[in-house]
Amino acid sequence: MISSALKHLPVLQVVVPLLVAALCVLAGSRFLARTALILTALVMLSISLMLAGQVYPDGVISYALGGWPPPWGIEYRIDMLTVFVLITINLVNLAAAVFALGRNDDNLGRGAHAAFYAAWLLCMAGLNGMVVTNDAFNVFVFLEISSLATYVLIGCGRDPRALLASYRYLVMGAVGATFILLSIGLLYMHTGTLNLTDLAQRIDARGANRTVIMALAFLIIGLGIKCAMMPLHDWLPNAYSFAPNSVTVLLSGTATKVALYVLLRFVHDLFGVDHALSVPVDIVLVACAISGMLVAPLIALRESNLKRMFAWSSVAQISYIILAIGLGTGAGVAAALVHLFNHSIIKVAVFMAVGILIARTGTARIRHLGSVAHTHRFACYTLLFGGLGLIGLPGTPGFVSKWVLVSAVVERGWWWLAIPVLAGSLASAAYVWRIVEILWAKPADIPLQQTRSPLAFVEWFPLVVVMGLVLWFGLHASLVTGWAGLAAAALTGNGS
Amino acid sequence: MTDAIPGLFNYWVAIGLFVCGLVMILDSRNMIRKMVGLNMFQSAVFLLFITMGKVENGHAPILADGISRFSNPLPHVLILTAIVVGVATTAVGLALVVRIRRAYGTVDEDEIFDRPEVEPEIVP
Amino acid sequence: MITTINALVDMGLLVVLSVSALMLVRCNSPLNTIILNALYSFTICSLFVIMDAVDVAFTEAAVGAGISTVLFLCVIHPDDESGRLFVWPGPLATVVALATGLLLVFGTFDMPLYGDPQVPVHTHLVTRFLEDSGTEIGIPNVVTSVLASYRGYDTLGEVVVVFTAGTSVLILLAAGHARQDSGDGLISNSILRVVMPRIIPLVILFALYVQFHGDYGPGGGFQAGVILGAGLITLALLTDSRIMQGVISERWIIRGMAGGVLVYGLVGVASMLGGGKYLDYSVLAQSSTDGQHLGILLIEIGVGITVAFTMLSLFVSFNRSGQTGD
Repeated sequence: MISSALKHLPVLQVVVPLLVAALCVLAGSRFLARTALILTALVMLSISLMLAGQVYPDGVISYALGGWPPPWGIEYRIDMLTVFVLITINLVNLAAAVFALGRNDDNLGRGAHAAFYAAWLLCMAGLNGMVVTNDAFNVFVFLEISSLATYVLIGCGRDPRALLASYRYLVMGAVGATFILLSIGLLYMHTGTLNLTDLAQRIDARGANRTVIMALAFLIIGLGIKCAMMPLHDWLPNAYSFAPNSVTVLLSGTATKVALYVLLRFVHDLFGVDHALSVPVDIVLVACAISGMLVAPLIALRESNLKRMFAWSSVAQISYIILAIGLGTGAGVAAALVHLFNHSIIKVAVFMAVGILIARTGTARIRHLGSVAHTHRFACYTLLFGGLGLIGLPGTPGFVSKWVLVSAVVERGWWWLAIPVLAGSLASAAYVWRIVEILWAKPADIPLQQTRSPLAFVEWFPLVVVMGLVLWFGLHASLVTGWAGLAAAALTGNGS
Repeated sequence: MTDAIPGLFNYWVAIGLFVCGLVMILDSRNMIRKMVGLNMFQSAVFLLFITMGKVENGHAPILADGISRFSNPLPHVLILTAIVVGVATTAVGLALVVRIRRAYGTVDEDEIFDRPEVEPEIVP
Repeated sequence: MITTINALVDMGLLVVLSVSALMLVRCNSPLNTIILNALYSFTICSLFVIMDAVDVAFTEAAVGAGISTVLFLCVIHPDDESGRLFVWPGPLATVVALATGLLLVFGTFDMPLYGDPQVPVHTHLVTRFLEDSGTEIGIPNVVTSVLASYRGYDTLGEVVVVFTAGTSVLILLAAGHARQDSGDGLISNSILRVVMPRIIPLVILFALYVQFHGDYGPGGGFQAGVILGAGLITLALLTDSRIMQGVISERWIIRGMAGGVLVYGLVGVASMLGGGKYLDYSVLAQSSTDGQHLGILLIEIGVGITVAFTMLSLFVSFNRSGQTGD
C-alpha cells in the first residue's frame, strides 16, 4: 500500500491540497479548515522531500496522467530542478500557513473563514501543479487556479485599497494569462503538440519561424507580468502592501518564484538561449533586469509605507533572478536558483517581521515607527538581519547569491554587468539604512497606541525557524549551491 | 499569394479583436467596461485556436459511419477549458467591482485615484 | 483555399463580428455595452459552428453569452448611465495595442492557411485521437474522449477553476459584507407566473439530456451544469429568494460546489487504488472500454454538479449584494 502510494507522489503533490480544499469548503468549519491547512502544508513539504529522495538517485520521474503515454496524455515530470522549486515553495507555504493562524489583518465576512483557507490551498495546488507539469496547456490551467485564488487572497486585506490592488492585479494577470495562452496556441500551431519535451524536439527539428518567435515574445510578456519583471511590475507593490500579512508572506515566497521557474523552463527547454532563433532573448531579459535592479531600490528609498518598501525591494531582487536567467548559461541558471531560494527565505522572514510590527503598532507608515526597536526588539532585529541579507553582506545568504551571480556574469564574459549588480546592492543598503535609522534612532512623530501583547507561538515560531534557515544557509552555502548546480545540469543537459 | 487573403482573413479579424480588446482594457475608466474588454481580448485568442482546428471539408469531430474527414478536436477541448476559465475570471472580477462600489461609491477608476490618499487607521 | 459556401458564411460572420466589436468599443452606455457583448458572443458562437467546433459553440452560448451577461447585469447600476464610457484611447494604449497587433500580423504570414489539412496541427497528436479513440474509449464524440479521458486532468483543473471562482466570490460577497434585502421576485408579473413553471421542468429535462448525451453529440457536464443552474436560477427569480432558500439552503449550495470536485477527484483516487495511474479509468471495470465509459460518466456528473451549484452560488452571492435593487 505504502510502496504503491510512493509511485503516485508526483500527482499527490497537487491533488492532496486540491481535494483538501474541497473538503474544507464542504465542512465549512473554521477550526477544521485551519487544522487541515497546517496538516496539508506538512504533507506537501514531506511529499516534496520524498520526491527529492526518489529523483536524486533515479534521475527523472515521468508520470503519465490517465495512463495515456506522453505526448498524447498529460505528463508530470520531476527532475532535480522541479524538486528544488517544490521544496522552496512548500517550505515557504508551511511557514506562512503557521503564521496565518495568528492575528490576521483580514477583512473576512461571517462564514468566509473556511473558504479563505480553501483558497489558500487552491493557490498552493495551482502553483505546485505549474511546477510539476510537463504540458504547456496544463501550465495555463493551473496558472489560472493559482491566480484566481491569489486575487481573492489579496482582496481579503482590511484596507479597502486591497480591493483595488486585487482588481488591478486581476486585469493585468488575466491579460498575462491570455498572452501565455496565445503563445501556447502559436507553439501548437507550429508543432502540433503540447508536451514540453516533444515541443522542444519538434522545434529543433522543424526550425524556428515567425510563429515561434512571436510565441516566445508573448510568452515572455505574459510570464513577465506574472513574475513582476520591471516594466510589467505595476501590480506587485500595491498587491503586497494591502494583502493580509500572512498572504504577503506566502506570495513573496511562492507566486512570483513559480512564474520565474516557468520562464526558466520555457526559455531554456524550448528555445535555448543560444541565438538559434536569431532573437536576442538574453539582451531583452538583461535590459529589463538592469532597469529593475537600479530603479526599484530608488523607489523603495522614497517609499513611506514599510510593507510597500519591501515590496519594491522584491521587484529589485526578482530582477537579479531574471538577470541570471538571461545569461543563458548553466552557471546562470544555477545562480538564478540560488537566489530564488535565498530571496524566498529572506523575504519571508522580513515580511513576517513587518507583519508582527504592524500588528503591534497599528501602522505601516515608516515615519510613525520611530524608535520602536526599543519596544519590539525581536521583530526589529529580524528586520535588520533580513535587510542585511537583501544587501548581500558576507555571512548572509544574500552574499552567496551575489557571489554566484557575479561569477556567472564574469564567466559569460559580461563582466561589466557586475557594475549594476553592485550599484543595486548599494541602493539596497541605502533603504535598509534608512529603516534602521528610523527604527532605532529617530523619535516617533506621533505617539503610537502600541499594544504590548506578547508574541503568540504561531507568530514567533515560524519566524524563528525561517530565521534559523537564513542564518544556516548564510554560513553553509554548499547545500544550496550544490543542488542548484545539479538542477541547472538537469535543465541544460550537461554538467555545466 | 492569392490564397493568403481568404486563408489568413480569420487570423486578421482575430488580431483586430485582440487589439480592440486590449485598447478597452488599457484605456477604460469604467471597471465594468474593462471586464467587457477583457472578454473580447480573450475571445480573439479563442477564435485563433478554433481557426487552426478547421480542416477543409471536414466535419464536426463526432465519429459516424461514412465520414472520414474531421476537424481537429484538440483545439476545441483547449478552448472549452479556456472559455470556462474566462468566465471564472469575469465572475471574480465583477465580485471585486461590487465590493469596490460599496467601498468607494463608484466604479470609475480615475475618480477613485483622484481622491486624496488617506491613511486609514489600522486598529490591531 | 476554401471556395465553398462555408468560407463565404465564415467571412460574412467575421464582418458582422468586427462590426459588433467596433460598436462595443464605441458604446457609451453600460447597459448597451452588455447587450452588445451578448450579440458579439452569439456571433462568435455561430463562427464556432461554421468551423465545426460544436461543443465550443455550445459552451460559448451557455457561458459566454448566458452566464457572463447575467453577471454583468447584476453589477451595473443606474447611476453609471450618466457618464460617457468611450474616450479616445491615449497615445500609450494606442501604441502598445497597435504594436502588439502589428507583431501578430507579421507572424500570420508563416501561419497555416485556413483549412489546410497538411500542417502539423492536423498530422501529429490528433491522428491518434481521431483514429483510435473509437476503439480505445468507444464513444463517438471525440471532443468528449479527449476532454474527459486523454486530457481528463486538464478538465479536473477546469472544474477546480470553476470551484475556485465560486469560493472566491463567496469570500468577497460573504454574508457579513452584504446588505440583506430580498425583493418579491418576479412573481408579480402574471405572464412569467403562468409561463415559467411550465418551462422550467423542460429546462431541467434538457439539462439531463445534454448531460448524458454528451458521449454521442455535443454537450456534457459543463453545458448541462450551466443549463441546470439557469433553470434553478429562473425558479429563484420567479418565486422569491426566501422560498428558494426553503428549497435548498445556501449551505448546501456551497457543499454541492465542493461535492462535484470531490466526485471528480475521487474517481482518480479510485483508479489509483485499482492499480492504474491517476484518472486512468480503464481499471475501473472488467474491460478497459467499460472502465472508460464508467469513468467518463462519473466525472461528467462531477462536472455537472460543480458547475450547476457554482452558478447557483454566484447568483445567490451577486443577488444578495443587492446591486440592482437599491
